[in-house]
Amino acid sequence: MFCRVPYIEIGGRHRPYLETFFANPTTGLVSSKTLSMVDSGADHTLMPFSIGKLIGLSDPSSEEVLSNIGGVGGNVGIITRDCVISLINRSLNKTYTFNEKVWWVYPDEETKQQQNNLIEKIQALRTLQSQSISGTDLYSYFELEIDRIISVLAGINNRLEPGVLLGRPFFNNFEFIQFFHKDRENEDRCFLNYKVARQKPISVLPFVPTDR
Amino acid sequence: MNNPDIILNAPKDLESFEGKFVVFFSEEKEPKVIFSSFIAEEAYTKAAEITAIEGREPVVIRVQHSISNSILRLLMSR
Repeated sequence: MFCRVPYIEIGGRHRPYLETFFANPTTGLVSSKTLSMVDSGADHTLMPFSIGKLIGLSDPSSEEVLSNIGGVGGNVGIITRDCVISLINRSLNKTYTFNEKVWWVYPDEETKQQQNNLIEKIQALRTLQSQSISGTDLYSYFELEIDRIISVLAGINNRLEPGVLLGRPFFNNFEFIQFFHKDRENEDRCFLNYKVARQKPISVLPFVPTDR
Repeated sequence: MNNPDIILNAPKDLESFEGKFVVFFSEEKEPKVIFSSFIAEEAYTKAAEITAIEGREPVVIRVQHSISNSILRLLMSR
């Protein structure tokens, strides 16, 4: 028996997403649940910086060199880490857990410094704004300047927080995975089918839905 | 033979949350954003609180930030 997963519309685009969460294999720390995009064009499974931080993946040692990959919005640092990925299947009410290697997006020193500088600027501007009178041009100026810096910070986060991509290595956990695409005008009718390979999960636990 | 579809949904109004981490229940038919923040840790902490209160776990995703849109908005507001 296999499962059929219609694409989910996020921000006006339908894409193949699966419900997943992540854990640190060393400490057992578990992430929040998220939607991971299944990407047949990705050579690796990609994890955003915040999830790796949340589950306490180890920062790169001084000997480790960050790989640099290009993407939309510029280059990002990458480091490989072992990780545990759990896939929720609401159809079978099961959670499948797999051992995986992930590419963890990690900021280089320059990016970290840039972020810190921008955060310091925001804090300074907020202090100045608190000393000005609400409704005045000066107050509005601080507001706009804070918005502008938040926008720059969000742009940096676009690179560090691309969302999870389940790349082709993850597909080895499936007996099969099939994508059913239609043309762009019918994206809402796209779906994928998958069946987990019997021998691949390190655990299969019941998923108890508590939907209202 | 196949099982019933796994239907997941996302809020429809995510344009107003660009650049933010949003928390919602993806199993609902028309999910609403319960919480949003530019800061990941705040969203993850809130998701854990909601799980403890509601007995079900929401998802956390980040809505990509469109830089060109925000610059345009900024220019328009001047």
